[in-house]
Amino acid sequence: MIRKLLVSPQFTNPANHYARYSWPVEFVVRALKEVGWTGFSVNDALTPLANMGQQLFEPPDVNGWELGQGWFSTGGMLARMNFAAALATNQKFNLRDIARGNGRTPEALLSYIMDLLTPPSSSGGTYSALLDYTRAGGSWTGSDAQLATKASGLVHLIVGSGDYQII
Amino acid sequence: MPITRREFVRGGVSAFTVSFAAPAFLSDLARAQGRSRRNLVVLYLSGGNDALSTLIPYNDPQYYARRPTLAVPAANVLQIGSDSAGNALGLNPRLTGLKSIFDSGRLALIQRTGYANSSRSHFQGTDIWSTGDPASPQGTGWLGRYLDLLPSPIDPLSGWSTTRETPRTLMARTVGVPSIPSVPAYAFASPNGGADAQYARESATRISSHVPVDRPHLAFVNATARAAFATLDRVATVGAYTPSVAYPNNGLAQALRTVAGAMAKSIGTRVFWVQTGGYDTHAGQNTNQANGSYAGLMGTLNDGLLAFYTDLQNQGLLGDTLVLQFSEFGRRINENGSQGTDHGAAGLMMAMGGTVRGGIYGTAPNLRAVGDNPTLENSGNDVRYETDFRSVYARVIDAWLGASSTAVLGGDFRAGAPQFL
Repeated sequence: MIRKLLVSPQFTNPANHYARYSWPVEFVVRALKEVGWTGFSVNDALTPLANMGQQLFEPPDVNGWELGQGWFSTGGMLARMNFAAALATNQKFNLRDIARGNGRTPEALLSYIMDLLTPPSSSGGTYSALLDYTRAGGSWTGSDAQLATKASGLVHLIVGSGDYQII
Repeated sequence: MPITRREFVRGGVSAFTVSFAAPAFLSDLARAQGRSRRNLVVLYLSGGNDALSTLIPYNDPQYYARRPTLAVPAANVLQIGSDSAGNALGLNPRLTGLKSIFDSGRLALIQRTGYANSSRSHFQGTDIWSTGDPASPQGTGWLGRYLDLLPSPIDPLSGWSTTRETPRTLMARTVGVPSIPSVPAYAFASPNGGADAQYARESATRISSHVPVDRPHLAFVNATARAAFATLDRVATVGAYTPSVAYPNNGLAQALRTVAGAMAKSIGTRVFWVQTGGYDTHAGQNTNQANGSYAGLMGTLNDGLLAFYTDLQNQGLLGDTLVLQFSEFGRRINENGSQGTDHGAAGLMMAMGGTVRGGIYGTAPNLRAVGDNPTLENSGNDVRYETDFRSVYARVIDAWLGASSTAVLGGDFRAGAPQFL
């Protein structure tokens, strides 16, 4: 059965990759695994999860949660972006530390952060928007302060992007 | 087959970018689309409200015979007169505020609303009331279809759901109605302050502007994000609203306070969705206990609506506001063995506002459980509908929203519509 699944054309067809809306809990767990959770309590995720529309173990009714597009109201999308901001804030100094030696240029820092995360195929316009953000705010020095700001900012933008919500 | 960062960078050639609409443009759009200034607030009592405990036929001996512990004594009801068939009616004792609004002629009570072969399923019943289509209750909602008829481009803030999820009623084909349960939480946070926070918002807005034609899931999420960015600043103004009265500290009243703020700040929203739950009273309904569950529900409803009504009156907004209230079904006539009531059929709709022609519409059921009683169904266990709920919708669409009810509802339901507007 597993072999049949793994060798099926549907399994390897790129059109079927990244074609499912992530549940809030999938989004949160994935972000914690990829960004880090030092000093982050599970309880810190419960209110954001509720804001995204999923109160763990408490579906709205016996029908369960409405899946798919139902997760993505404007308020739910902002809740995801704001969780990404809270997580990036929480991990700011860890991100600075791991970015040292990988942030000689804005391009190098962006490349490093993108390798840290696992975004799916997406538009070139996203890359240019991220690079413009990394460059914004003055000349690049690669200082600790700059790395802390831009590494956390990039994590926020990528984890909060539409691309990251599709799995 | 892992997808690499380089594919992330390289991919998506079949994408285009949506120019981000500036807030000033959207404000103009909101003003143009909201020229009439009329607001519709849909209040959904989730769970199936027991209409016979809200509007009480206190002179019907069968009411007391079939509800030995739940019937409200005649001496306690708030008497409001009789319907056109001569049935004496009274409001639940906790609805003192609504009684005063009724007395001022601004509350319409529409009895026995529903549809043929009423569903007793919460899910199906809610879908039917949301779509206005008992035969095929899928797809867009009746107010979503109304929004689809507005001139394009439609302001994303034309509708506002105060719940976390967008209800089916507001699901539209051309616009994603925002869900904003909390104004303070409806903001874009950043891990950094100052100028970097502004750079982050600009970048996030640019990222959301990409519409990959070969990735419909991503296109939908990005469209939602764009709608969020397009509405942030206007929604934030609602946070500065100072009401003229104190609203109770519960979910319903605070949602109504937010709606009043959105109206007062003229942000362009014309259709609001407010929801309150707890009406699935299978057990311990305790209609006659001051601290009972149903008394609590009525108290929450009464106090919230009275604060809202008074606030709008003080702000000069009452004449532009219509509140339409419904539930997915009424409840059984007989009380059950748990001092509660089970899922029933026809229910009660209410309409409240500064231009509403108040009064009692429709006729109360005769609660005598005999087979040939035309006001009952299901072997005399349930109240049979008299007014098709879609005729009420039609009246709202035609006489309040100024649209075509036949276009929105996909049929002509104007005949027999109660003339409360």
